[in-house]
Amino acid sequence: MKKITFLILLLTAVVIGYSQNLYKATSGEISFFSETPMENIDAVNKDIKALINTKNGEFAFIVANRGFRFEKPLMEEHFNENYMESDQYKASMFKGEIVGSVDFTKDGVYPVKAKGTLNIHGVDKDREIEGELTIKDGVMNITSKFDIKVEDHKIKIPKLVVKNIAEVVKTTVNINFELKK
Amino acid sequence: MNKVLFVLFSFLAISAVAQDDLMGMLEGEVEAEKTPEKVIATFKGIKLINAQTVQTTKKRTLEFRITHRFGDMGGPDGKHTVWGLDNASNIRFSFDYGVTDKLSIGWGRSKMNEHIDVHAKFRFLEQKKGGIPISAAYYVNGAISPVKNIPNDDFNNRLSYVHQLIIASKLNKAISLEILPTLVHRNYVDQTISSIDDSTVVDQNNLISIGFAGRFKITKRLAFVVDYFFTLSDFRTPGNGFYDPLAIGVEIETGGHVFHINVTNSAGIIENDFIPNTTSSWDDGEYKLGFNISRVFSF
Repeated sequence: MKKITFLILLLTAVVIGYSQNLYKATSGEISFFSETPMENIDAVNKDIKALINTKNGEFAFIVANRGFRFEKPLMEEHFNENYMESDQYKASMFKGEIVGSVDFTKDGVYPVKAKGTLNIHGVDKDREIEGELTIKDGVMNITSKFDIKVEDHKIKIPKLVVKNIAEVVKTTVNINFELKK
Repeated sequence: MNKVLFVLFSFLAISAVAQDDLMGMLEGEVEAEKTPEKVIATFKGIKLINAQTVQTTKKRTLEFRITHRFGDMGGPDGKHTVWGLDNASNIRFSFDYGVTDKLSIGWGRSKMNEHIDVHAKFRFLEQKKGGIPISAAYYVNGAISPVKNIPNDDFNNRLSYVHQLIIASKLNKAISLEILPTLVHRNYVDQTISSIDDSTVVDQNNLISIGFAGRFKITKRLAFVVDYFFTLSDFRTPGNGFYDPLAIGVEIETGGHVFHINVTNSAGIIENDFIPNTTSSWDDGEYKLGFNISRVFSF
């Protein structure tokens, strides 16, 4: 009987141990910016889900395409209907690991790279994205600025609007993480 | 004892697997929070050809539309007017403004009957994926015909009204359909003329008509569009020179513009004109080339 109690305790410890490695996004936003001489398009999405396993640096990020908010409602409709095809490709995601020498137990600012697969519009692209990881009082923040070539993800821009939409979209991510309970 | 151990280790293994797949955890969360999604872009514009669509002008945007109907393409004059291009059966300018995402108001002016109209559309039902399969809107207008002479010189005789229910469904990416039960009220109708078949049948102030409309996408930006109105009236028969308006066309979307090229037998563009007063017949070559252009401005 004692053995069972011991095992249960061990199990609980292991489970707790696991969850202590998991950081979960509590808030954050991803925005993108397309700049052309004709018009600028920017959109923000605050509906972010992300997890980091500090034990092995594993990182996952998912954002609903329908959650992007544009300045003009027609842009939002076109984004979902014509370009992102959000009914079919509901989410954009990144799966990979955080590379860099980070001591998750110490406060500090660490330059990091996220190495993995970026999936947008249903098309995978292997990426190495640079960013900055800040740890302060048990709260983690990740920021990153990177470019997405629309062509890489098979998003077609018709000739008629080619002057209105940039081929390379500037993307900014800012996420706050807290220990998952 | 061994059994207990086995069970415990199984749990350990399961939790370890679950921890491994972060993306799986996130996707599980997304799935759990899922609510029925609003179906967007049932139609590209607020009007198809003759028919209203269930779409309203989006919040704080102004939609400017130019609608043009040339003359008859066939018939006796067709070839002398370059298939009607020399003539303008009707021209309409209109402005629509989105008060909210569900309510839009507008103003327009047509050449036919010199109609000046004010109108409003309220969308009260949204189609949802995995939820309600239709969306619906109510459309109302009031029009005044400021022509030189009006019967009995009575101001009220210049007015007409439309009430319309618009029920639409986007079946899939390519096909959207709608049905439009409509009531047109004209304050004045000439009841001195009776039907050629039956002398007791005269024109009515209230006309009930049912519209049918559809969009069939060919590519992302190109669609085939059609609309048709069936009017329930003993007086409005081909024998008395009245026909049901049928319009077919092609819809092209380019960014902030939606462009239509169409062919229709109705000269009227607003319901107050095309439901009671379509006197041209497809059979007689009295169909007209037309176009609609809309431009959306956001504030």
